Amino acid sequence: MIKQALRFLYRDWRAGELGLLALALIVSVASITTVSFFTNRVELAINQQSNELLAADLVISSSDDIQPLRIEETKQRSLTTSQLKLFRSVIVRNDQVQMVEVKVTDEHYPLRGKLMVSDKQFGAEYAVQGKPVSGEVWVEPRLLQALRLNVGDNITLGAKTFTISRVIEYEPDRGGDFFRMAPRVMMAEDDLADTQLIQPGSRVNNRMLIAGDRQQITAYARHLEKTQQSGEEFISLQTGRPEIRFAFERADFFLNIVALISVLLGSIATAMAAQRYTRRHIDTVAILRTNGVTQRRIFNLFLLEMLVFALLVSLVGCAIGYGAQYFLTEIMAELILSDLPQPDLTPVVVGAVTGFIALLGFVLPPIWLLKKTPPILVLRRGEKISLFSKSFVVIFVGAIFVLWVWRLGQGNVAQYILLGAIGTIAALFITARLVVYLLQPLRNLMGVSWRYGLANLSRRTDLSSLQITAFGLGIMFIILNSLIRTELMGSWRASMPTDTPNYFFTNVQGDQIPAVQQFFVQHNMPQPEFSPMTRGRLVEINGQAVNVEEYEDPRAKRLILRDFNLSWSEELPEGNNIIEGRWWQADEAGKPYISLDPSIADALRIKVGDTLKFNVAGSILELTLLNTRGVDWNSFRVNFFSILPHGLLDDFPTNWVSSLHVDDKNAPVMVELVRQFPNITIIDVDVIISRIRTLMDRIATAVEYLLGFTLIIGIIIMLTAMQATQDERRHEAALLHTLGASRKWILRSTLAEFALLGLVAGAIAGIAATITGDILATQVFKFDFHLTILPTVYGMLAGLLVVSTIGFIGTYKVLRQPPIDTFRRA
Amino acid sequence: MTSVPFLQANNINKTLKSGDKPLRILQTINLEFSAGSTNAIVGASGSGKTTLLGLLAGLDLPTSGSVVFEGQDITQLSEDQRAILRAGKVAFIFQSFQLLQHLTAYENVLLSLEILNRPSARQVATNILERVGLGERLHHYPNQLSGGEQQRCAIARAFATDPVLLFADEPTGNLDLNTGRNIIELLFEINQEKNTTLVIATHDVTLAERCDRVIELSGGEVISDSLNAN
Repeated sequence: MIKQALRFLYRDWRAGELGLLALALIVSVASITTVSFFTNRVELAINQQSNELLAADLVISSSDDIQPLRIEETKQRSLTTSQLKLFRSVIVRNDQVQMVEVKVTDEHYPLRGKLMVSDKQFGAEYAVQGKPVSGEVWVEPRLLQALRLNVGDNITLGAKTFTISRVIEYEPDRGGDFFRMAPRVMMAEDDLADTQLIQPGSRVNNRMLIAGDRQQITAYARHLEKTQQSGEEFISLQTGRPEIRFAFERADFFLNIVALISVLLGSIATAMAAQRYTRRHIDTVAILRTNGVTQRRIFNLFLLEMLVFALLVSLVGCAIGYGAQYFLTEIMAELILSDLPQPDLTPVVVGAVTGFIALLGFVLPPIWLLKKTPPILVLRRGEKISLFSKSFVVIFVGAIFVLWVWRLGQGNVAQYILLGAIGTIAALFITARLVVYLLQPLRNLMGVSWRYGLANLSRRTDLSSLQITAFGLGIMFIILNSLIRTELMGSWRASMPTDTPNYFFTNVQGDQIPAVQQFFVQHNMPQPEFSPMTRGRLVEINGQAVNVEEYEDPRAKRLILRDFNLSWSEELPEGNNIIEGRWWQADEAGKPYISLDPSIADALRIKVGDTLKFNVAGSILELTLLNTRGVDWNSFRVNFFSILPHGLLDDFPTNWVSSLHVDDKNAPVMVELVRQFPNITIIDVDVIISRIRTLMDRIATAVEYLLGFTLIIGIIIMLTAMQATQDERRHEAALLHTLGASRKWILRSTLAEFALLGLVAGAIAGIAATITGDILATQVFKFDFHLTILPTVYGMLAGLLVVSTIGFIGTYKVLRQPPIDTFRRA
Repeated sequence: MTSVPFLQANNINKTLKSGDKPLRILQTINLEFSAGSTNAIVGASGSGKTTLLGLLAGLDLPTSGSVVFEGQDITQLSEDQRAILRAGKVAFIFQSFQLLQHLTAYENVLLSLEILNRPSARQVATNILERVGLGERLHHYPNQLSGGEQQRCAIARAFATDPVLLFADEPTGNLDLNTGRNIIELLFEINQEKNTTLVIATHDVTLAERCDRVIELSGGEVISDSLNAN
């Protein structure tokens, strides 16, 4: 039987019966494995190299100084340690201010992995351990390029001037580009005091890197979990670096959605090709049955043939996916991690399972009906038998659902997106049908080629609508992607008033405020208003200790793991509005209340009236949620998620922050500000926006790349549809020849059909993308989006070009049919 | 019957390759057709009627020999050149009607005029359809018409362009006896009005009897060529 099935497979392949079915399956598998190979490599990197990613085996991270107790403990347990401080600051060079990420190291750094440096830009790399010599710094090439510096030049950091002595080529615990807003500067701990950068309330991440043998580390990690102090966070090989894992999970989810949309369309192509394949085997089955082969044996034969086929095409799909992921890695990996290890075999399993699910869901059902072909068909040729049953729809949707849940999990978001995708496809299909129907009366107003093309389009309404849908979807995603990338990002920035703050100031000390305000008065600039900020950790909600495991929402998890930024104010800040509850009165100073952004209250599942317990610098504050308060984050003013009444936190270490709009002509004044107040960190909003833009650009490029698969599927659907109509087209071409039509005439009218198809697909896609863009702009980005006709015009042009070209290639041979064949058809 | 020969078949042979052996379809056919004549080609299935029709119409090329239409050897022309020569001069009627299923009766006729860029195409199409008795069914699709009506539409399409030469392949083959008779009447009525040269391949004795001349084929050869007394 296996031999026979293989013979069947060989013959079908030789006869060209399997070409499009193979193509549809291969592209589906390739699209999902491209993403799978990429995410697999990142995941392996995170798991295998996690000690290198930490530069240690275990890390204690805290916004306060590492407690002496911890240092003592590690000594007792003979663990190797290294202490780091990480913070943001600015450096001044001539008239330029550049934000940097400072890492203060000791002589033991790094404990795991290698710190690679060189003596000049593009110089030979070598590994070093420890810290720069006092008075020197090591910097990333990015900084040298930004400020046009060389090794040997001086830079000023806070109140101290340093000489650049080395270039940092690779830092083990750096993460990807995504986590680095500004270039790295490494300095020795001995110089920190002289810079005067760290003041009470300054934002600093203190880290103790710990290394040792596995047993010691496991024991110490267990001990730490039991004795966790406020503000302490532990990062172990098991937990990995949560920010990297979080970014990775997001990327994994997002890229899989894009790939699954291709698989969704690929399933339609597979189902179409499978219908054609089975239809062409009706005669074979009728003859087999006449010869006494049982239905069961017939089904088993085809089943075996298809299983071998699915295995082969899945392997080809995997091979293509493996090749294609290199480009995806090129685009995406730098954002998360670089230097990825080779993948393991998981993606191949993913590819094979996808292939088999597609086979089971879309190919086997018609074959199941095929085996029932009555043997009498041998005598009654041409009699139509149905290879479609309503239960196919259930199997089809079920197979897609299984694939979707398997790749994305059962989360609500994944299911909404699946519903959205199916809804979009259905909406496109219905619209396409409607447009084809509405175009019909126009037939008499058009020239003969167009009339003939339109008549062709409307006679195969379902097939035409399906082709329009497939192309429409591909074009729609591409337009939408570029709309988000260009229009939305551009309009968002442009929609802000011109006086929107473009600089943030942090790490200002309370006693510096009068002098800083005086500085602005001297320079004829508006005085910034400062808001206080201190940190506190949420420890209890309504008397229950908060446990990160109880929350699914990643945002809630982060809120619990990190410190809250707590501010205080007597008045409701400008641009804020009370959603629920009430603002406190002037005479309620010092009352234990709190006001929260409603999204935080939702994430943590708390309501007005609930009590929250915070640990602020070792003191416990029990606060009642008095109100939830809407905040306009687009205002770029200093805003806070959590605000307390005035007079409650006055005695805690405070960091004062502000934002201000600074005209371009006043930008040099910022240099002067840093010179006078070296501890103040200035953040240029434009720099942050341009970083976000770069990030979005990379993601958009990756999505665009994956959408290539969607377009290929669109082409396959069109080729399958054309193959289904090939006999008909061939016959008509011959007939038109006998009526005196030249080949050019026939070509022109066929092109008119495809041009119409492409125009309709492009128009629907353009309009759908514009509407979606508008919804995104108004609902998600919250600004007015100016609807234009341009995306629709581009969509129509793209549709016209792509579909006409494929139509031309697909039908050119058919059009050469000699007219004598007209006589040959009964 | 006029004596000017405007279509000639000179020594035509047609051989097809069937596996390793050549298969002879037509052997040394020599025929002349004069303008305005009506000619029937009869013979058993497989005698080569349809192949001969295709060669005379320039839809296919002979293995050897020539076909001369209005003094021009069409076997020397390319497919497109033959199409240009045919355009407007030659028309066809088929056994299975060969109407385009996605076009209405009116559009089917209109299309053949529009391919040739004929002026007043819409008026001509309407008139000829009314002439064949389909005035009430202009906007019906082929599948909404009976077999006889479909063949009427095909006749309208064939005569709409005022061809000088009309080929018909078993025009009554798919019709019942009565309908077949009516179609023959219509065909000859219009042919008389337009003075078209008619070459018909048929099994139908009644149809063959209506023609001026009957050519009988057997095994790819002409075995008789006679004029009808009427």
